Amino acid sequence: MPEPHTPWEPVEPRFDEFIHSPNRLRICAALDTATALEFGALEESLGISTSLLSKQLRLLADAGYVRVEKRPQGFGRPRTWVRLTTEGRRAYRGHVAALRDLIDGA
Amino acid sequence: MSTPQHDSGDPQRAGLTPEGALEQAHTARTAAIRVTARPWWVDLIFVVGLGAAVGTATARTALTWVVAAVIFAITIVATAVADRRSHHRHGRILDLRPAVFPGLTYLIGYAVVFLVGQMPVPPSWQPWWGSGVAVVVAGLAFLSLRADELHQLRRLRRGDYGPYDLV
Repeated sequence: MPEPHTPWEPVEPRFDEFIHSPNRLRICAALDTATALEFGALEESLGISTSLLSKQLRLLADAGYVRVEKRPQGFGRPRTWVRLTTEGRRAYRGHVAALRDLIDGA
Repeated sequence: MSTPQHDSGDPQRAGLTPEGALEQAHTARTAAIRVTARPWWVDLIFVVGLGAAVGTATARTALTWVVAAVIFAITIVATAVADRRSHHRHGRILDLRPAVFPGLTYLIGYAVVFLVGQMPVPPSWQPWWGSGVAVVVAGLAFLSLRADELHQLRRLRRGDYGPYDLV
């Protein structure tokens, strides 16, 4: 069993069916480890196709859970960065807390 | 903006058991941290340059001090470029709870370099003295940087940080 997170703030357990979809859950879990992750690194971490990742990010962005932005580099092509919004981070952590409650209550 | 569904219902209906979901989340966290970790070779570039600069400076002439300063400046630029190119994450844990208090680490490092630089060694000891100092300084700096990075990764994996620590 994974080690528990130390929550950033008191988290209200809230099961979120939108996040519970496997790919979206994994995307949120990966993004929760940083303030922002580069798109290519996220793709490599999760081992999913570019098109699937783009589609899921679009859905998460439409829900207000992630923000996707292209940032110019000092040299080379602009890179795409993805980050959880405050609402997204709260929803993800609330969902994880809800899952723990479900396990503890079982 | 569409509103996602919030439901306190059956998680299995959504396709994953709670245990399976937490396992997947943990696996995704671990993979993201592994993929975005600072590569060891970026640290190696820095410590090789640092060691060379300190080793050169131990000759204690005006010329070698200038050369050491130039080597150090080049090292800083090269490390910054390498770090930028290999950079896939924003956000490091910046609180006062690292493996060793960072100020203390730098203080000890600075004191060692200062004392080594002041040691009056006979010119006949060069270049072996300078080479030895370079290797020791580079080795210690490398161990310190990697220990710091591994400590960061462990804490990120556990989610062991406060609300304003991930910056």
